[in-house]
Amino acid sequence: MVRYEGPDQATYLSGLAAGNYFFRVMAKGPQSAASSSWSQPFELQVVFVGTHQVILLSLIGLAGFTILVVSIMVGHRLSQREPKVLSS
Amino acid sequence: MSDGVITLLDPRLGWALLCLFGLLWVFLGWYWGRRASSVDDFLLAGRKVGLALGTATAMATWVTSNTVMLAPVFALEKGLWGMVAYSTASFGLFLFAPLSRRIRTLMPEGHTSGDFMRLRYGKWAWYLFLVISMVYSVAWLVSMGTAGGKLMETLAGIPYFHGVTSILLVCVIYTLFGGMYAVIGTDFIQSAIILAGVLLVGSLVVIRTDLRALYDTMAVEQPSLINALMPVALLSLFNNMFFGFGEVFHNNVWWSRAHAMRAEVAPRAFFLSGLLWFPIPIAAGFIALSATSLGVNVIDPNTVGPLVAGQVLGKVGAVLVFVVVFCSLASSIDSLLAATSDLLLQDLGKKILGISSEPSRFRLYSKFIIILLGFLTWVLCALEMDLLQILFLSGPLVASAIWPIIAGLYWNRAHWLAAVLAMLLGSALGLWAYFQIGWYTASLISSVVSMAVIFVSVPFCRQTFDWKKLHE
Repeated sequence: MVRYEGPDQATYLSGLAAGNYFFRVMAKGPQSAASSSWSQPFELQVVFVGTHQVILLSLIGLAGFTILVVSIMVGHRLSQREPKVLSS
Repeated sequence: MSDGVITLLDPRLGWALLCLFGLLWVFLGWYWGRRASSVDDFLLAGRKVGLALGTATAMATWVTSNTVMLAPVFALEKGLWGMVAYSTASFGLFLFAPLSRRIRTLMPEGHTSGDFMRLRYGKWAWYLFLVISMVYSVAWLVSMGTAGGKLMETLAGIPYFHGVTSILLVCVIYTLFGGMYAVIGTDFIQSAIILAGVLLVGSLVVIRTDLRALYDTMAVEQPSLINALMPVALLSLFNNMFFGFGEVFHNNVWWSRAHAMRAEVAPRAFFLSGLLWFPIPIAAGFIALSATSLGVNVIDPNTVGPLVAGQVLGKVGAVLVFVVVFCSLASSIDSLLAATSDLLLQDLGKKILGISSEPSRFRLYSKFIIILLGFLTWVLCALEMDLLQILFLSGPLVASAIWPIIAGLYWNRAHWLAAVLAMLLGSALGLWAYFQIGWYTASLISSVVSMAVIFVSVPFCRQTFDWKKLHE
């Protein structure tokens, strides 16, 4: 698969699935005859964070978010009962 | 910018737009600033800002150059969840709505978030809080200046340092003229331009994109971006959310707005601004997702949004993006300059160094600090640091302040030592997570550690705080 063809001398890769990928480049002149040969391929390994770590941290995040929202809502409701005390 | 690089706008057009909008903001800053006759007028716009201006200023302040640049980066690197993750920063505004009501009730004459920490928890928590807040504020200013300089260079070929200098100069001048009146007035116009511009560019890109082809290309070339279980994207969702809470809950930009708005208006204004802000990262992010399918080669992910918009929509798109970027830069830099100078003056200057609070001198000191902050930002922008690194390194620091703020506002048994430990341990373990696990866990870990410290400490706290102590 050709990833990029054009005048830029760099490209940015993202969104690859986990696995090993091989890339190589070729220089081309204005005419197709003036092409270089392919470079040696270089290998890119894509590795994701472990599933257990993701699940654990996501659950912690969800719990933290829920406690935060509930604390503010309860605090807000309770605080609405005390404005007279505060303004005296 | 090196010779021979093709930009989306002619540099002369870029400079013309920069001068036009720069002069407009300076004029409006001077015009609105004439109303600021007292120190409270200059720092807090007379404490009587209404719903429309209040909503607009909160929304415009939260749309920064980072939003225009980093929301597309989030989408490009983390796909669909990345767009949602960035949008969760609006939750900070939603939840600050009830907090703002409480702030106005407890501190009707308050000035800064530092005032609250000093009166509620005492000097040690206050000192630590000021350090955290200043580190974050400078990091935010520098990240915005850097982002703005890079965008000006990408879009119009304006050399990076010239772009940064021009933007900072304009913002410093009009903030100097008008203080909070100028900031809020210009924010109103800037918010309208930003909202219309981003939604228009996003919609035009959607219209001109074959969604079926987009999905097919991504399924083959970038399958992780449409994977609903992409690990880093899931983690960044919570991390970004807690980072956003930390940013909004602690920073004087938001506290000064809460004090500047009429008491009954503040909660509604923050909630509405969150609603208006929510779709902006999604619109900006979608633009980046379509890059591969449109055949746009991305070299620097930080500039993917403007690059795609410019290439798909041509010169009109590039002009639109340029104007939106300039408005989002100005609306955030001016707010941060005004609020941070207020924090430095009130907390460091008046309370720690004991400077005179005589009105004319106080206003003069305020202007001096605005210039100093602008200069510091300009010097640090010269280093051209990595945007994500600048911003996310301050994430665990601000996330550690979430719970001391919430507990301090609502619970009368939150102890000063617990607040100090929560900020220290939260920051330390969050920074450890940043370097040992990854940036996408730092704010999450910091916030949860801070929460645990506060919750564990409450049963042991024998003192009951008298809320009247917050009336100063």
